[in-house]
Amino acid sequence: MKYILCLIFILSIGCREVKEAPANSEADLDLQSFIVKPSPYVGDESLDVFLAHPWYSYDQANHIIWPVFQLYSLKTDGAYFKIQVIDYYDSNAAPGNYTIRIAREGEPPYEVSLSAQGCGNVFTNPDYDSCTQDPNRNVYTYFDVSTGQSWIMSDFEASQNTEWDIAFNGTSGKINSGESGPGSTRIAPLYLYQGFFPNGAADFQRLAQISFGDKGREIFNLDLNLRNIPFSLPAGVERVVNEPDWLISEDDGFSAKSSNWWIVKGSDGNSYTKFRVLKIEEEESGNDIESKITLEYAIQTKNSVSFSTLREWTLPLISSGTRLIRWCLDFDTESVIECSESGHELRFSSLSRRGRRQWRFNVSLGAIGPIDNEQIIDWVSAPQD
Amino acid sequence: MTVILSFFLGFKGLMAQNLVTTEFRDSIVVTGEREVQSGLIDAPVKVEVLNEEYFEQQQYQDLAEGINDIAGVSTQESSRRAGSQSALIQGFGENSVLVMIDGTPVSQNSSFGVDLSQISTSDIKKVEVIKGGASALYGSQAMGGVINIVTKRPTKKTKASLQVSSLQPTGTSEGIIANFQGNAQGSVFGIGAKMSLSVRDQESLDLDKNSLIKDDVDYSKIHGSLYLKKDFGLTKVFGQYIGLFGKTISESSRPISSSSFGVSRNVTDSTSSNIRLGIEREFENGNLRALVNREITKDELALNDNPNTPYTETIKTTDFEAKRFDLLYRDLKVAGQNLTFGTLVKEDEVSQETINEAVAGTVVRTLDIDQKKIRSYEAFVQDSFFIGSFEVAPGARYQYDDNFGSYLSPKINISHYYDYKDTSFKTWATVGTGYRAPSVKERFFTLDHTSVANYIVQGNEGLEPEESLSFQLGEEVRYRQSSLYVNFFLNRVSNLINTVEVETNTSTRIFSYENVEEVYSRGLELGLKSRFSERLSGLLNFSYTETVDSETDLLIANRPLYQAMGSLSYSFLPKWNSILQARYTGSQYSDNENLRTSPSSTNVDLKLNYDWNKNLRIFSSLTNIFDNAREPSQDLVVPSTDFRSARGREIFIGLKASIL
Repeated sequence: MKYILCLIFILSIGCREVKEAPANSEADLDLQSFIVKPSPYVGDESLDVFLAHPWYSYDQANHIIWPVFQLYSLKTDGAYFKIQVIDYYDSNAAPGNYTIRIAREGEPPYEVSLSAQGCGNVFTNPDYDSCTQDPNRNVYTYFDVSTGQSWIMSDFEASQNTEWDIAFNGTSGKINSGESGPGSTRIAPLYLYQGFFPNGAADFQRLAQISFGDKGREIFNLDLNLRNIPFSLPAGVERVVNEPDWLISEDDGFSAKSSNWWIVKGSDGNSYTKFRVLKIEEEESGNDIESKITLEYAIQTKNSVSFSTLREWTLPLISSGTRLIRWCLDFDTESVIECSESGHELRFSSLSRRGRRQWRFNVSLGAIGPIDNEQIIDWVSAPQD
Repeated sequence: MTVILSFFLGFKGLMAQNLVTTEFRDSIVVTGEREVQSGLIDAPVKVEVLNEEYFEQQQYQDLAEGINDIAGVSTQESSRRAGSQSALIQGFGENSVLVMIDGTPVSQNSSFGVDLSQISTSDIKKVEVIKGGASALYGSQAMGGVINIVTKRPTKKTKASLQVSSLQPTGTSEGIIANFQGNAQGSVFGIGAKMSLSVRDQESLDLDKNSLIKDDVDYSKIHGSLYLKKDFGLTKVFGQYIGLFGKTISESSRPISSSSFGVSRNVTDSTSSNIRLGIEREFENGNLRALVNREITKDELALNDNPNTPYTETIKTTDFEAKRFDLLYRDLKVAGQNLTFGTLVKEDEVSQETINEAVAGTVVRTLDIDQKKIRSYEAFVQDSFFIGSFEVAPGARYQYDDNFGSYLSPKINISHYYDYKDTSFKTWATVGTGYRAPSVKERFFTLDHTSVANYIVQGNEGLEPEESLSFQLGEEVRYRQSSLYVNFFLNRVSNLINTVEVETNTSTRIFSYENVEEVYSRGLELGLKSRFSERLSGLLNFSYTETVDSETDLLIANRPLYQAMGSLSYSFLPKWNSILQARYTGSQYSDNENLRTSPSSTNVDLKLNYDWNKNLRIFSSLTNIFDNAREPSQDLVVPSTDFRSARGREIFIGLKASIL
């Protein structure tokens, strides 16, 4: 018996405990962990942000659209807004009923409800297939982030309307620019919490916790720079230095839209140039038009912390009699070089055909813009990657 | 503990020889005596027994209620099946505990193991438990232990009885449980016959009408049996039918959108029919028994059904059939040896189908498993002999499986008996090895669990068998009408089959079964019982069990470290008996990462039994007097980890009448 009591004693020393875990340990977010890196430079490639950086993840097993609390920065009419979709359903679990959290830069957030069911889905709409073919029913809901006003209109009407900024139809979204509208709205993914995607797949349990918790408010309240991010080109816009942003085309010729600036990444990746098209002077020469483009620019070299003083650079004459011109511009040497050579930041092309002239600027590594005259004053130095 | 021991043993002067029927002395028995017929026959190994009288005194209606009264044995809700209770012995659960009725396994290898709450006490003569992989006589499922239910046998005299009872929570009119039990036995034309029927019906319980989730399930459970036997001199022929039918409806809630919950209804409908035919022959030197057994289980699960749609979204059907032939010779006495040996052949077959209807009228049927079979052959021998005051019982079990080949599991048990004046001592030490081939569930089943957790469990045909090593070391002291035993145990299972997450590119999490390195359980069990006076007796059980993943050194989930039960029985008037019982369940982790916990609980019950006359007994109890219950369930994304019952304080009342 004494041996047994001894064993009891030995065992009792080594007894384990069930310890209470800290409360809400699973709901805590490590917000330093994010997916979108705020590199602001974008290349000459259009991107559907809502496809590349969706605001939701579909839980196929349960047929639930879970918001992933993706933060977007929306730029419209020179103002910046932080936007986050926080719900896709109304209180009756009907889909297509958005709740969106919005804050103008530096101002407190507000939430808006937006019904954008479009044709719904195969589960909610028995007539789904025919509805999607009907442009009068398969419509977006359009929203003006500045005024909070919303409209339902056809795609064609929207393409003529400058008032709206962002629109939704079911889970699809679009902004007023490029092929969707006449505006110059831009949108960029600002922040996506990486903890929602362990191993690259959505953790619906975690998303559900936040959806039924603060609905991403903690994420929304992060102090993030709404400007220093890549406002990718919308569908239908092929170049970051987009023609309508620097070129005014009228019956009597071209003129410069000098109110917009761009910051272009240097060919070595370590220098930057800010520039604008300062003026375009045109003269008729026989049957041709001769044009002179003057750029205004400043360079921030590799070891500099700010841009140099502004300089002007007038490009060689462009004649409409020349069918194709392709110049590669090296700001460091203020020279036009062969495009096969490295060192250029911009490539200019001019195509004249049957009296129709087309001009383009393409960037080599990426650019930020357009930035208006007021804002460019603040950019005393180029943002780094 | 020494204080408690002194307290109990100090009552020796009050003990009397004449026992009334309501005391505990013989109702929980630790035995080394040989059991008869369908009982466990592994004599030297410690067998703990709950008998018919004990179940009746304690007013237990099903086995799940009573089995907790053995130290080291507990129950837990079966995974993915609400309202179903499976056994844990020394930390090992439903796949490692062999449950038998009259010596033959029931519902093994079916989809969810054995639901102990479906086995009515009405047909139980006694329940025997062997802990740890101590015995060679029981097969692959017995790594954690063996539970054998010995059913009642026909009597020559015709008898019939009826029992009705009801359990009602005090705080609500919902959740009523109604029980009916009927038994009849006798002999007609020399054929002994016994029939029993038990019907249990529970209403659902919803304590918070503002939430969608309900606090307890709605179920109906039927347990019926028929036993026939005919003696031809020394030869006995018998047939037995056991039917278990159960339907359980549970309603929980789950997100149906990113901001609202909907009802998720799970309906489990299962039928299990077990038919046996046997012949038993007594010889001058031993006894031969042959048995054929066929078990057919049909299982239909409606998973996460949305009750607002006119169709069932997902139905999973499982057809399981087990065939088995046992041949057993026992008590062959040769040169001071007592030999028992036998063999068995068995075949399990399973088919499984999933029927999905995500959109009304579009039904997709998927045959997940098409008549998969596992065949195995086993043979065993167990000896026992005395060397002085030592009883040595070596044994071995040979198993052959179609897929995994042969395996031999040796075991040995040594017991020492010693008497000193009025005190007798028994010391035992057991070393047993175990072996379990993966079940059909682990190898082939697919289980969709498409709640918010969004996961699927799928079988793994590449699993390896589990192997175990079990040590038991115990001491029992009997002093007049008191006894105390302490048992230390250490069980190690390597290649333990556990659920793990499989890496996947999809958003749906997929879990499968995989062999994990090693799990061990260790701890102690303590049982103390004493008769203090003619009217007063008591028992106390305590267990400490830690079940640990050796690789992570973390405790396995859903296993409380500490459990204790104390009970005092007092006959304050002739024909009256009262029982005051307290049960403690320690806190436990609810996940294998040891991050979430379920709190401890203590329930106190007061029970009254009144024998009106020899044909009528009335009984009643107030259970969970202090209303220790978890909060009403809420609609939550992360399920509550509070495993305590929501039912709280309840009143139980019933009567049993002998009508023949």
